[in-house]
Amino acid sequence: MNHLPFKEWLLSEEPLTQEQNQVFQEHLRGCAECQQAQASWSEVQKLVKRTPEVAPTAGFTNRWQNRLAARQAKRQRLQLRLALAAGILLASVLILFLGVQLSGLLQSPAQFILKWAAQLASLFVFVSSVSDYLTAFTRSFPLIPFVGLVLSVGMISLLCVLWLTAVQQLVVARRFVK
Amino acid sequence: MVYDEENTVNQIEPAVLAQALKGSSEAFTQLVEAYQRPVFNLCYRMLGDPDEAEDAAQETFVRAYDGMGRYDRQRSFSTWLLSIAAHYCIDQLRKRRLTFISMDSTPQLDPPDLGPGPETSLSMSEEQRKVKSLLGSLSSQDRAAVVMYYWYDFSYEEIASALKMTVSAVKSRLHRARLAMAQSWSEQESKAMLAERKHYESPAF
Repeated sequence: MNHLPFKEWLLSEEPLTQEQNQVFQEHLRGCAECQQAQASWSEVQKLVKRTPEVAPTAGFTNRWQNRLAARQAKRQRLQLRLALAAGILLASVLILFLGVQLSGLLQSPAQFILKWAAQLASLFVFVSSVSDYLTAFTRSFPLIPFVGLVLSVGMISLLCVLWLTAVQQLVVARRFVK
Repeated sequence: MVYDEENTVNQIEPAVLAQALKGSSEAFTQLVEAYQRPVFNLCYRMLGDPDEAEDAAQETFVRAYDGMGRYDRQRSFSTWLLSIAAHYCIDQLRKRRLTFISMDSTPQLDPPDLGPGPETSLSMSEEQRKVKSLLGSLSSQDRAAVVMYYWYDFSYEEIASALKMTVSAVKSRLHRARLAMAQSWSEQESKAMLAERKHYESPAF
């Protein structure tokens, strides 16, 4: 016997049409399998309806507050460790760099000073050439300085806002006040 | 209070929710007070163990607290919260399946805080055991859909939104779950009858 539409109807929560219901009832009268399925589903529904919701044991909120405080403390410790590690790494790189420079200074001070003077001079030349280039560029497009200024200020402001938001979200963790 | 006797989740005061969204921990504590029961119940129905349910419910509120900035005010808060709980429980069940621990092997503890007398408590625990067994016959996603539909009267749309699936997928999952639960019930009854018959046919009788 084909039970397919009847088992669909039996478990469906959509209301049947009068015609469908008539056909279904007729089938049900002669089909033990569908009767069994209907009885089982009916019992399941009754059981679910009368089974009460389960509540947690008393003090749930306090336990949650403790858990949150512990989680926040753990996060802060992790952030502190990361900041410390970054600081140590930066300091190590700086010390290494200064060490190398210092050894050069101690070995031949005159050569060291000359080398740095040359580097400063090349830096000055670079800055000067960039400045000249920008001046020439702005002269050829008289509108650009003003627009560029507005855009630059806008970009810098946006970056500041983003930075502050990121700091607020990531670093300043909300403290839970008991 | 947001949870009434008919297992439906009502809406909390909008002012409390607004305060919680602004980062007020006191307001969020009120949300925890108000929603602890539906969240715990969902976790218990999903995981079948009170200790795991407690852990999952606590984790749900921690995640909600951390993710308040991502909460969409257009959505119902209870749907959002129960969605976090359901997804967490689904993940836990997946991990549990990976470590080959079935629901049957979890300790059969009495559900907490039911509060009636010893006789009623016994019959209630028997019913809770039956419910646990029925829900245990379902996949984690189907189980979440069933709990939301039958315990919280969520609409198909709300379940679809909470479980990130289509409405037709929800209907299909619920239909499959009903069939599985009806079959599981039938098998349980047959086993119980067989056991009873064996008991009376034993030489002691």
